[in-house]
Amino acid sequence: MESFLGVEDYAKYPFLPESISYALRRNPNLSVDKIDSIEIMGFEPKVVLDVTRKRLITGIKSGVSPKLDDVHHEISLVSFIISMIAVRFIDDQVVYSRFAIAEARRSEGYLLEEIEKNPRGKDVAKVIFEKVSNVKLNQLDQGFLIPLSDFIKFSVKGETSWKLVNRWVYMGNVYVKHNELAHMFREISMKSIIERINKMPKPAVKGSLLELIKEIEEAKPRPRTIAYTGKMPPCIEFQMNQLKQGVNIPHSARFLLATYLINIGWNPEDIVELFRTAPDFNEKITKYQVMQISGAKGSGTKYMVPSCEKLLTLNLCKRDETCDNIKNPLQYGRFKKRT
Amino acid sequence: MEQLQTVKKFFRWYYFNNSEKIKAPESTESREFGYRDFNGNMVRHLSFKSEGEYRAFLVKTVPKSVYYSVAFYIDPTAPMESKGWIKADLVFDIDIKDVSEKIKENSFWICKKCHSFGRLPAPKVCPNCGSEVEEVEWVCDECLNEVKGAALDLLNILTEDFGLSKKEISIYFSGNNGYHFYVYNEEMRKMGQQERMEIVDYITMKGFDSSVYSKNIPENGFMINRKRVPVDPNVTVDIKRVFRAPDSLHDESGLAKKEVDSLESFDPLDKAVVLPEEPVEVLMYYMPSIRFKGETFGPYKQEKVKVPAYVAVYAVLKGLAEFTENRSG
Ligand code: SF4
Ligand SMILES: [Zn+2]
Repeated sequence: MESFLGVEDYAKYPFLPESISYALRRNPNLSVDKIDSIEIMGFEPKVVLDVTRKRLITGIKSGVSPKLDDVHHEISLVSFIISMIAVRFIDDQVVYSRFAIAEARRSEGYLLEEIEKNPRGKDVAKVIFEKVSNVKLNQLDQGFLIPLSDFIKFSVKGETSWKLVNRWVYMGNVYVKHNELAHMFREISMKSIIERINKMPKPAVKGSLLELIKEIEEAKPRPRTIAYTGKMPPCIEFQMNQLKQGVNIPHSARFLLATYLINIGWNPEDIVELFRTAPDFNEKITKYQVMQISGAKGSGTKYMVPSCEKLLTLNLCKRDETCDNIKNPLQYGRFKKRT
Repeated sequence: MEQLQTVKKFFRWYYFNNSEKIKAPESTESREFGYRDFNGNMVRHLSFKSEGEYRAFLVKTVPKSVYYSVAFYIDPTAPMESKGWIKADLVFDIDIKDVSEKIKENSFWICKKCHSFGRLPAPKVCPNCGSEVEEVEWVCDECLNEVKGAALDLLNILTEDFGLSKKEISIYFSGNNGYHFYVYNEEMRKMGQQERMEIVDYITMKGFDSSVYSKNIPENGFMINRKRVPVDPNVTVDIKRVFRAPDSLHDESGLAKKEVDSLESFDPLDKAVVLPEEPVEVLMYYMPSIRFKGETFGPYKQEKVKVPAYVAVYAVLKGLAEFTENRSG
């Protein structure tokens, strides 16, 4: 299968193991201390660094890495590797996730284009997906069949439409639509990028890469810390911690957080701040959604906090003994005996 | 207590005469074993190196009930937290009371002291003498067929929806009123609790939303006949559970947990009857009629009868009779 993909594909999906080994094979002296002197395809080191800067800054700020279609594939590919080195140097899980999702989104875009393009595109998409996930797919007209256990592993947790009970399951395979496959691809890619960065030793960076790193640190999301008192129910605490660690929490969890916090009296701006560390944070959309949930926009009705029972079916309940017999997270702590 | 000692005598007979046929689980040495003795004590965290060692234990100890873990551990005898979980068989438990309406009609209560009885719902205390009463689930052909129907539905889901081959599935009559399924598929054995919950929800159709489901069907895809099977979610999700051992005797019936070769033709009240034919005299307080090995016994009411040992043990373990002579030893 190795020959099936070319350098153009490697540039589109630079985190595939074979993309990385291709880049290292082509640039055997690609190392941290030589970045200031690296020449690729006759281009000066500055060109490579500029591309890397664009990739990183745009990616971290906007949440999607730029496609770089106007850049030579070899350079695009190398800029990904230098980006990983820079991100590893920053040594911050929020930046890791932010970078990883920006890259995963970029490649997801290519994957969807691939699928829509032509019949061969679907084969390419299938091969790419299989390479990043180690899962074997079967192709149908409008989607793919994915093995049951892999579907369960990679499905989006906490979403009704992704629950196995609501899926078409036949002979050990689950039917997924193209956009759903792309969604799984994004999640799997993101995890594999983060894993790869975590495995890298911390590099000793100097020269112009160091300057670039300073710029990234400025671009990274900086949430105001919000002081709050009072103990939150386990389901809320859990999601807040996930957010802090830069985990991409599901929409149902965001909905839970927003409705809960609004109902206990947080103001919408503080809630938007809280979501700032989400790897796919988009200020405008988040603001709009939070305002809508608070009743300040749209229908004008405040949304209810989902019941504990509903949260249980969505796998969001983290009940422990402090939950007593409550029916809704809002009742948390209310029935507790004072000692 | 004496009554139970007599039961133990028959259990000993079974384990002594059948130990060669009792199978130990795959990777015996990686499983945790546990048992309950005839004094009611539960012992866990045991392990056996081989099938031979396990069989010798059964003959020597004569447990009232015996279990082993669905899980494979690095060190099965260690405390729970440090056993080192490797993987676990995926198991399902179908219980008659979750499946059959009919069983409720047949079931009854009986007073532990004066042996008055009546239909359900049971009174809090015996209306005759004020003592504690016990509910007894009583099976008939109809409700056994209902539970078998549910087992067939589950088998269909496993083979058609999940695509498992029949070789990867074992089905057992539970020894009392239900069926146990084991799935030996390596991908599934690796699943954790959350993943098993997804499987259970699929089977029990918890959280099913037909409008969401209909959007997830492929174009030109045929309709899949979705049937709900009420398996016990706790059993499937508990990846550290000890589960009743195949071929062992059930402590509430004296029947064996027997492997089912073909569900359609399986008759539990024939195939799972393994205690001796030898006639034994019991005082029946009350026993509705029941069919074992094609022969009907009862109904009996306050009478001494001579019945095969397997009927006697069944009635005694259900709290419906007592042995008239002390036969322990
Ligand atoms: S019981 Fe309710 S409050 Fe407690 S964790 Fe579960 S959902 Fe949250
Ligand atoms: Zn009584």
